[in-house]
Amino acid sequence: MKPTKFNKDQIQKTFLSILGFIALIYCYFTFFLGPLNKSRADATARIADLQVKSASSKTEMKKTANLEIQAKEATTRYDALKATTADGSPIAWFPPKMRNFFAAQHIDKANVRLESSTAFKQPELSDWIKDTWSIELPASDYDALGQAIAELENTEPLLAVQRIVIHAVPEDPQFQQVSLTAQTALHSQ
Amino acid sequence: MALQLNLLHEEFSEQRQRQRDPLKLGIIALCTFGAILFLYYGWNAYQTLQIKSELSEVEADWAKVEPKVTAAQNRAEELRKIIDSTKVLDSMIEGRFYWAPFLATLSHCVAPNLQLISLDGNVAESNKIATVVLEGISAAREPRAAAEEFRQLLSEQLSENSLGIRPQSGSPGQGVVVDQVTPASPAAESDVQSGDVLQKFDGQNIESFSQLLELVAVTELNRNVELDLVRNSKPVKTKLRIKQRHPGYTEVRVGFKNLEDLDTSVNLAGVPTPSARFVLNISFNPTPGATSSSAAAPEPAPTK
Repeated sequence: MKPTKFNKDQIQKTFLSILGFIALIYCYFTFFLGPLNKSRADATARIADLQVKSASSKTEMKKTANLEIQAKEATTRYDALKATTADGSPIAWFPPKMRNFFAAQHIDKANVRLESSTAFKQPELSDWIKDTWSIELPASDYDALGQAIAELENTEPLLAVQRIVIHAVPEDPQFQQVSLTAQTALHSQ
Repeated sequence: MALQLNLLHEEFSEQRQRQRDPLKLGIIALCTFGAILFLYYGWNAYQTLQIKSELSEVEADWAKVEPKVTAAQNRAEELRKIIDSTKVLDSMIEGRFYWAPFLATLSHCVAPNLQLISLDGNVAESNKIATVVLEGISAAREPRAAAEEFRQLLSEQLSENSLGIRPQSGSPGQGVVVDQVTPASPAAESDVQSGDVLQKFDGQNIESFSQLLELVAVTELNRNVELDLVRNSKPVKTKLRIKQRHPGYTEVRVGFKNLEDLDTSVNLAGVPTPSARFVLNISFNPTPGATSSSAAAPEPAPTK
């Protein structure tokens, strides 16, 4: 069989057709099928993601419900500890509170001042501040002091007496001069 | 005629040539291929629409659940923080040194021939070791011995296993007569009273106060122990529990830092009595493991 010979015009047209075909393929995949497939793949991935999330959310909510039961005691305790901090700046309410406390224990003229206020090192106590107070009791009976400290240690769980200095008053041996250094953990608002 | 036939042949040839025009063929092929692609696109678009519809359903479901899940996650995080914070706060509360029991014990141990001048107590923040420096004056025929008695009594009363009684001197051979009961001590909690004669501790006969102290010292903490005593000539059985007096502090040491005779004598009940000045060091070491370091505790000073 004799091979078909294309003339120049035919070759040009063939070349043009090939170019048109390539352009069509390119446009089809780039502007039509490509975005469509991408959109479908995205939607499929999102469905899978949401299904996983939805499945894990049930576990998450169950875990939270269990944690809520387990943490009931801790939450009550935490709220009670938080409630030991009054509203406002500690410098405004703590000294009068201590003065009133010692006055109720028959120890008058208590002088309370703030020594320092720092943050706790523990990351768990980021909402709490550590205040150091100096409490001076110029004239205190030993028994009354013992009872007052027992009461203080029992009623103020977040207060720790770090230092206690007692000196007998030479003029009146029945009374002692007392200096306390107390550290408090107060919730920062 | 022959010429005409030739021309017709050429015409057919031209027509055939036109029929296999590559452009035309190309256009037809392209159109066919385009149609296939269009159909394929349509099928894909249909599938995508279906998936999108499914997605919108899933998203609608998730929109209902998401606020609850977010709230649950936030709450869980908050609860975890509360639990952790409470744990740290509780450990701080448990790690506190309670001064009131110490002051009460001290008050109980001071005899009438003793006077305390000053007390300086401190709890180290780094290792939680509590130290107390106690300065006082003892007056007696042998003031150093009186100070030593005070040290011994204080040491016994502050130790972990303490019953909380002061015996009457010259107790009979059988049992120990109680002179005083320390408030809030195991003895006080078991209603042991002044004048009671302790006869049996955990089923063992009590011969002397020192033997009783030995029995108490080896008793396991927080265990109920039976105590047989005689009150107003009637036998009484009671139960007591030896408890840790200073939670978190298991080792208590009481020792003299200084003990010296004074030149001046003290007027005790109208009688001039020799006196001695003493400085006692008391250290409460935390339970091993609670802190990494421990301080050197003072040793008792030799007495004359």
